Amino acid sequence: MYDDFEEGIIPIIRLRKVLLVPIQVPPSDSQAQHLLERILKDLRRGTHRILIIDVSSLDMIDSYLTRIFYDIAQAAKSLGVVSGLVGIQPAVAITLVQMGIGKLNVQTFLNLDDAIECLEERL
Amino acid sequence: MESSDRAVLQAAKEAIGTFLKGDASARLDEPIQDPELEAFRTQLNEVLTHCGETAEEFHSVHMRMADALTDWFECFNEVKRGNLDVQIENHYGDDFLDMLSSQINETVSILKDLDEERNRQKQQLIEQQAKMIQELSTPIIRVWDHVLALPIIGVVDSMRAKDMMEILLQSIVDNQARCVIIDLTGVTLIDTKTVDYLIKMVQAATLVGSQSIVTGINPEIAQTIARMGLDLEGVVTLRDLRAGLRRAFEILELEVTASRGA
Repeated sequence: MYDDFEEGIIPIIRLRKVLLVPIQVPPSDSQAQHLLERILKDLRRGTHRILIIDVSSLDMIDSYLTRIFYDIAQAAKSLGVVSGLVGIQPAVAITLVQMGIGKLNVQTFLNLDDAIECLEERL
Repeated sequence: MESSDRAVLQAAKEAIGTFLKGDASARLDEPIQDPELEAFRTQLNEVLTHCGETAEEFHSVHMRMADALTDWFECFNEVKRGNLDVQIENHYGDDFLDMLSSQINETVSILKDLDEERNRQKQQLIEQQAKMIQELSTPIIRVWDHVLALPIIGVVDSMRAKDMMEILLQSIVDNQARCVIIDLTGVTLIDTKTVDYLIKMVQAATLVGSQSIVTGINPEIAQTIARMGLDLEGVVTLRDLRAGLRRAFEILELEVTASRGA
């Protein structure tokens, strides 16, 4: 269903107990859905306890993507994994707030250090 | 006087009459036998030709001047109306008129340059002032490592709120500030819109990854908020800046102690 090129766009980095997903290009709806499936597969298989999605390169986040982030966080939670979003850009935050999406129901952090520190405490 | 002389005189009179009526081609055409009269005829014809040429020249000079004056007048009118892009393009086949035209053109273009310069300076001044006002209206203070304070003073309108939000979020990212204290001590009047902006600002700061603390809400504002039935959902509010800073230290897990057991 997904060709190799599409699959290769978003890397998933496995580092000790952290699963790090840096999203560099705004994914299409199907890519986002596919990402969700890949992450959950990884989480079920591995021993990761923390999931961090890095969106610092994104200058746009649409409502579908926020929905996917929420789904990923909820699914991760059910697997005993704490999750967070890192590096939402100021312009993106303003757009989201103006769209009426003031809360993502996912914890957000300024940088990776903050995120790992905070999420480790919640384990 | 002989009758032939009389006839010549009559013919000459007629020719001059026609000439004066505007027919520049009027001449005594018929040659005369008498050499003296013939000489008179030639002379008269020469005079008529000369007069015709002169009149024609005068006429053309007059027309050229009229053209030039019309153009200049239009040009001046345009300048008076504020259009400094006009230039006189026509040539009048007369050095003096062309020289005057080019001088008018030069003057207009100098005026245009001056005008542009003045506009540029005015624009620059306006931009400078706008920047200054913007900076003054959003003073962001780095109170501690990773802690920013934004004291809001005066009335917050939509334009200012937008600027404030942008500047605050950028400073949060630039300073990697984990806590932001928004201090409302200087705000004496608040309305629904302002509260809405405030909530949005707090939400946006949270999205970027920074915790916001709102402090210094004075009793009148608190009453207004309560009476308007507004809900400061998810906004941490504390009494004053001191309490806000203390909360920030808690969030950053810092502890302030006296260096000597005072």
